[in-house]
Amino acid sequence: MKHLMTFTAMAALMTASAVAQDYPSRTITLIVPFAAGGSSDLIARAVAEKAEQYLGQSMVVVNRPGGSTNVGLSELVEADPDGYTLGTVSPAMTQQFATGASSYNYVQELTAVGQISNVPYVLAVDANTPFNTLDEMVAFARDNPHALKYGTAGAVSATYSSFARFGVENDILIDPVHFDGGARAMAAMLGGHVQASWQAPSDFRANVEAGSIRPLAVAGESRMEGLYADVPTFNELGYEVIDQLWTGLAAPAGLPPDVVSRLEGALEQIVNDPETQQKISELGLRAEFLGGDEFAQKWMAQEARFLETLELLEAAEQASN
Amino acid sequence: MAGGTEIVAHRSGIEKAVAGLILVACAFYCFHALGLNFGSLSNPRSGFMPSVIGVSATVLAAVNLVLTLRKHRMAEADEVALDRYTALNLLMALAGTIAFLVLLDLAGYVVASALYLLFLTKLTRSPGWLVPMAVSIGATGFFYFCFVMLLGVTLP
Amino acid sequence: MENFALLMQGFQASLALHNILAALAGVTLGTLAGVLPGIGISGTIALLLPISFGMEPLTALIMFSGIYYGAMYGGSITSILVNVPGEGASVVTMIEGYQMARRGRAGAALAIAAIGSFVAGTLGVVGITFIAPPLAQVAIAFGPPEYFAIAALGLLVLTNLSGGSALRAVLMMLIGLMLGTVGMDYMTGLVRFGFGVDGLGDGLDFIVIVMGVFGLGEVLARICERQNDVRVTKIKFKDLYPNREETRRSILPIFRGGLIGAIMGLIPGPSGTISTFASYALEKKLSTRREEWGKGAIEGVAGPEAANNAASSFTMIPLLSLGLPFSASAALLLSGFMIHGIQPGPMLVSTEPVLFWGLIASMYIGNLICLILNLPLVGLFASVLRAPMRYLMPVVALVTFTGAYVLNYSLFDLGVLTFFGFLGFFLQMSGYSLAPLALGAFLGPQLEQGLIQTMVLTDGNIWTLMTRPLAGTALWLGVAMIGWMIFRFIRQLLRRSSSQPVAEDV
Repeated sequence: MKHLMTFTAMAALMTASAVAQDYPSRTITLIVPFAAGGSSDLIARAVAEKAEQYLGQSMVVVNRPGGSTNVGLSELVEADPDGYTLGTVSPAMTQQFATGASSYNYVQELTAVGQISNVPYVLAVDANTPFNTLDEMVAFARDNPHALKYGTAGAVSATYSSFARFGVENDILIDPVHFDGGARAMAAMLGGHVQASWQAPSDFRANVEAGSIRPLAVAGESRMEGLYADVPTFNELGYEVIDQLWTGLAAPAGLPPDVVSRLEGALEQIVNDPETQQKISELGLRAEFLGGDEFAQKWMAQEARFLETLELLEAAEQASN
Repeated sequence: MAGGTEIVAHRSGIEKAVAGLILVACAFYCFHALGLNFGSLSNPRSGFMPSVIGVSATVLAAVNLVLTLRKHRMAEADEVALDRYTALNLLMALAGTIAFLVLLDLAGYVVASALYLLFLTKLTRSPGWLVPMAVSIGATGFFYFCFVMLLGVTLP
Repeated sequence: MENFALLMQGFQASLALHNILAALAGVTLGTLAGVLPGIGISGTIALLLPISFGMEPLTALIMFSGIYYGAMYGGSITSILVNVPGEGASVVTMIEGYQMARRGRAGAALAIAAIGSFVAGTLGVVGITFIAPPLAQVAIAFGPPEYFAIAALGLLVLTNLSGGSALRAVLMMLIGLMLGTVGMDYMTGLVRFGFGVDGLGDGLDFIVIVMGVFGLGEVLARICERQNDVRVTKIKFKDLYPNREETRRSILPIFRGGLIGAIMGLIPGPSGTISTFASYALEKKLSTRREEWGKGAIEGVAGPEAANNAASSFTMIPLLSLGLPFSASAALLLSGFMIHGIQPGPMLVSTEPVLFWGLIASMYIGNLICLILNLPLVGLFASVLRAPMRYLMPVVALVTFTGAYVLNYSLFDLGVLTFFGFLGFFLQMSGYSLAPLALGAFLGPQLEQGLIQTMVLTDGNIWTLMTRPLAGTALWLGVAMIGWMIFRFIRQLLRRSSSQPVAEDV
């Protein structure tokens, strides 16, 4: 029995290195854990389109939506680590295990290939509110507990947890109103039913241009370009908040290192291709490549931060009861 | 609304059983709903709605059961349940459907569907084998063509 | 009038040959996708998004609007002919439509559905053409209190109207609400009533439930009949189209349905489906031939179909004027814009006038092509019913299973479908009507979300709700109705216990 196992292990190793030498030799499947048409899907398609040119093989996008990305991601985890099944990941992957939504801890069970795009979240208010700066909003909320409400895209999303953490850390009582998706939350803000919201800049874009929504702060390391150039970062204003929405490529755990580096190299070229950059910026996002190791570190940092957020929120709830 | 009018005549035994089962299901739901966090009026949690629905449904289901039982006692409704033929057909349909679902997972869409169709056409007492087989294979092929070839859907 | 000139420019742009072809292709594909249950509008658009990368933005959008109208109509075909609803909006059409088909009036039902869709859809687009921006303001003025009030009133009105025993209707509605609470609660992130079963975590898909209780339930009922070699009816050619009487009876419902759809279409959420229920209720209330309802009243096809199409035109308003997609299909249209680097929103009319007005024009064209393409096909579709029951029903069962699988690519859903098929069969047989159950399952999530959002917004002081003009009116009406129902129920009970021992309806 033992012999047999060693033998199969060796055979697996041998096939793995044989795979790596002429990798990729056939079409690669790219799993997107969202329905077609979402920004993750469009990013994946922009990348897949360039795969032929930079990787020598075509990539086929398959959409596996459902279970707040768990359907697609668990399929990715269970796939063979041969480099022919890849998937796109987003910050949600770092939260599924902690919240018990998945039995897989994706941060550990996936190999990071590289980051494709990255934008900071933005805190914005209805333009009819009197708040012109973040400080004004915070000051008002401090004097008037529970007076301000913010719209979220659901309780399991950064649009809630990050805003809630911001509230706890700054000692303000501002209540979340959960909506079924970001569009509804935004409609409620435009209609004056809620006053603030925390969403990706791409979602606010049309209404910021029209002046009906006022962005107060961006949760990135530095300011954004273009439409949001005048909006200060949280850090500039003295609040320590970094919260980003990124999309990247991942593969099942145990992907041979030479396959990883082959993919990583191709992905860097694809992301830096002007056409890809153009497509991603049209979505209101920003192409930004990160290598596999750095990307994996980002996952871990995000997971740690999320666990911290959960504890903070739980403690705050205990205290209020 | 649709269907069933032909069978209505022999329904009474079933009607009482259904009313009873509805009450059991509602009570089961209610029990679990009350175990969820109710929250407060200014901060309702996930148990809020389910508790309200669960309690009202259980009450109504109980009233419904009483009325159903009473109706049958007073009206001396015929107590025949499903007749033999219907019950047998229903059981066969259930068994066939379960077999179909298992087969779908094991053997894939085309094989499972063709066999399932053949089974159902025979269940409806279609005469001969030639026409049922032609219908089964033809229909399966048609749907496979529409969904997979035209619309690019993946089937198991 | 300035709008009118711009619209003419839009027509010019969208009447180019390749755009007309795109509209034709879209309508054809949309109708096919609609006929095959499960795929639906969003599925089809999603499948075609990659192809549209290479097209001009306007051409791509014209194709999508063709799919939109085509699929909407296609969904009614399957509902009317074989009682399998492919999407929420066709559930109501099915109620009377299928009964008409069983009486041999399938052709008439299909034709009226097509005409009603066209008329109301076109009126809806006229609305968008002239008053889109002010309407967008109305749309956002509706907040959670209004969503809640409308869902609550809708449940009450419709449950009350479904006929038969009021107690049982309310009970079915509550069971529907229960089904709607299964799965992940996005307001807390908790999975409710999952019992550790993975498939339940995602919740029960409303469409799978209705496909089961109506579609599969009906198949079971037919299979269990002894005389299953009967054909539904022999259809003669002259019976394919509505006769004068049927046409006359449909005109007013179409316009009323269109108006209801237009009002409801502005409300975020699956307004198309809600508007069909509302239109059905209204027509039934207004009808002078109550006895025909549930046995194939043509008003019950004409009104809801019209409402649905007007609503779907109006859901484009929040998308075009605010950049907010309120439905899954609108979200896909949004990405259709985005992949071409266009951001719909308040600025769209001024930054991309040709595109904006071209799209509006294409909605007129899509509607018209849908009618032209489908009217001649009515006969073809209706002749499906010439097939003997014993072959037709098994095939319908297979369509139902295939469609339910394609919805979420989940085998678990097929188990759910089977369960609800048998459940529907037994409930129907024991004298419970299934429409309130479907309605509860559909509106449950809306009701709960609206209620909880409102309670957070008002800090638990739910009475402030009653002071808002729209929400308050709706809720007071609802309270009055509950009172009336309880009163009637008690009166019935008293009368029964004193005199008649036999009761038709418990």
